[in-house]
Amino acid sequence: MKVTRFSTSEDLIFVKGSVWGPLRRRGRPLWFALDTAAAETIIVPEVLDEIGYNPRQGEAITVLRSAVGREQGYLIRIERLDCLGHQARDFRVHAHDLPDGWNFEGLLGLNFLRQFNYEVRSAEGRIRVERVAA
Amino acid sequence: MMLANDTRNAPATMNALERLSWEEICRRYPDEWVVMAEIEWVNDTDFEFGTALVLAHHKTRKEASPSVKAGFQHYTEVGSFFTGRLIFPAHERLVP
Repeated sequence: MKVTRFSTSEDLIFVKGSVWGPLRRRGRPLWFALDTAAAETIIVPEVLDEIGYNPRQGEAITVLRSAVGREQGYLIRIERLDCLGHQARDFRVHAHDLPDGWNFEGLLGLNFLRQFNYEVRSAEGRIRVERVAA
Repeated sequence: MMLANDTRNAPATMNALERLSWEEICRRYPDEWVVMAEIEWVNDTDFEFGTALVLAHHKTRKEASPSVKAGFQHYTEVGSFFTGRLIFPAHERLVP
């Protein structure tokens, strides 16, 4: 069981994560907003570019529909994503811009979270996470 | 060379690096994206860290990305983080 702390004074739940790519020996840290309403994990394209990925390596072009319109991005598998004290390898993420003013670099969606059982203790600012046995 | 205490006309990329805590970073570079390296994480789950080197600071995330890339030429771990509140703008439109 891993326990991750988050600030209870923010409007969303922000957690630190790290992503690995072909150019990086250590992870590139970033803030994710925990989003149980998102099916997929999203990372802004600049971060993926920094760790050595580009759209040509993507598996598919994708379109993100939101309240503010349609944004085109791409689907790509990254070497590794760490968050909440656990890691996922060969992990699929969506590379999409987030709207200006969203001051974080990714959304941690259900394709990461569903590998675990997790308990969000909002008043305490803690998330307890355990990996589900395969 | 940029002096640490006055950032009003400072270049975004810094020549003199010093180790700072997150509280010091937020105080010195409010509402900016800071590019940090050699971050002394307390553990592998939380954002908490002892000190970090601030390589650069920028008004927007997109501006910070070249500084992250440049930082990776010299450091094994580089990241960019916003020092202000992490509220998203749509929230403001929902408030009556």
